[in-house]
Amino acid sequence: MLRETLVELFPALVDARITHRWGGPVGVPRDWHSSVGYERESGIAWAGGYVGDGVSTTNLAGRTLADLIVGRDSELVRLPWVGHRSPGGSPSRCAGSGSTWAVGDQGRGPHRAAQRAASWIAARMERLLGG
Amino acid sequence: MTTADDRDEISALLYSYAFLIDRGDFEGMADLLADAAVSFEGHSLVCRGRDQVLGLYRSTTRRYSDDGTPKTQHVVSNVLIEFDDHQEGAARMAAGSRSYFTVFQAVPGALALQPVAAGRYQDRFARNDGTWGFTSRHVAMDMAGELGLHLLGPLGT
Repeated sequence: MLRETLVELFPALVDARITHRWGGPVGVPRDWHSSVGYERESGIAWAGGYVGDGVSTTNLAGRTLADLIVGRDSELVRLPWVGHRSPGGSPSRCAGSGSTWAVGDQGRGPHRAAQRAASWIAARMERLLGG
Repeated sequence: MTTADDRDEISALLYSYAFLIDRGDFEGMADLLADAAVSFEGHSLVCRGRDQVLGLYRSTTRRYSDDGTPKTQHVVSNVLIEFDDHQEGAARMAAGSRSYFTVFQAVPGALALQPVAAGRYQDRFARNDGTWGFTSRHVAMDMAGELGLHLLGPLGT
């Protein structure tokens, strides 16, 4: 499927041989909100749930975590995703939420999922139009 | 040309879109929309011209390698066509339509038959050289279900 997508986007690669492949899971919290946090008492820090946007977000997470751990009061540690917790729910209800992109929004209805889809298409249009 | 003829021709444009996309014929669909401005509800960007429309569908819509189609069925319904004012006895030159779309999809081994999206098309048409054609298509997606096997993303990191 990835190869198919690659060729869709870059038709010139149709005959190209792929020499290396890498795969990994996509982290999808139940509410689709990524978060970063640090519990000083336990010494446990976390960052994740980027839902496919991790290339840029991990950079922010790393800098935010550094400030949290050393106790620096910066604007980064006051961002709303710091300490955010995804609401609970039975594992069965959320099973497979990482498999596809629409599932995360279905709990809040198909209308929200439609807005998400339209925004994604608009982002593709923006790229296409050189925006 | 009677009003009924005009309606038939415009309806055929609406239905042709569905046949073309479901067949995976994005090139034919881009020809159909070559003179149309294509936009989406809630967003101001507009694709114009065959190349942009083709690029949009190629970069957003999945086609499966076994049969070259998206494995979808676009159903266009509730079609209402209204003609712009025109002089008595003169040919109708412009019209608009509202319609519903429902996209069904089934991917063997991956997705059971189900509706994956529903919404509305608001279209404009003009007659040039005696033939009706799209001049704009505005897509309002109202409800979405499992779109991961219809659209190409987002996947990745």
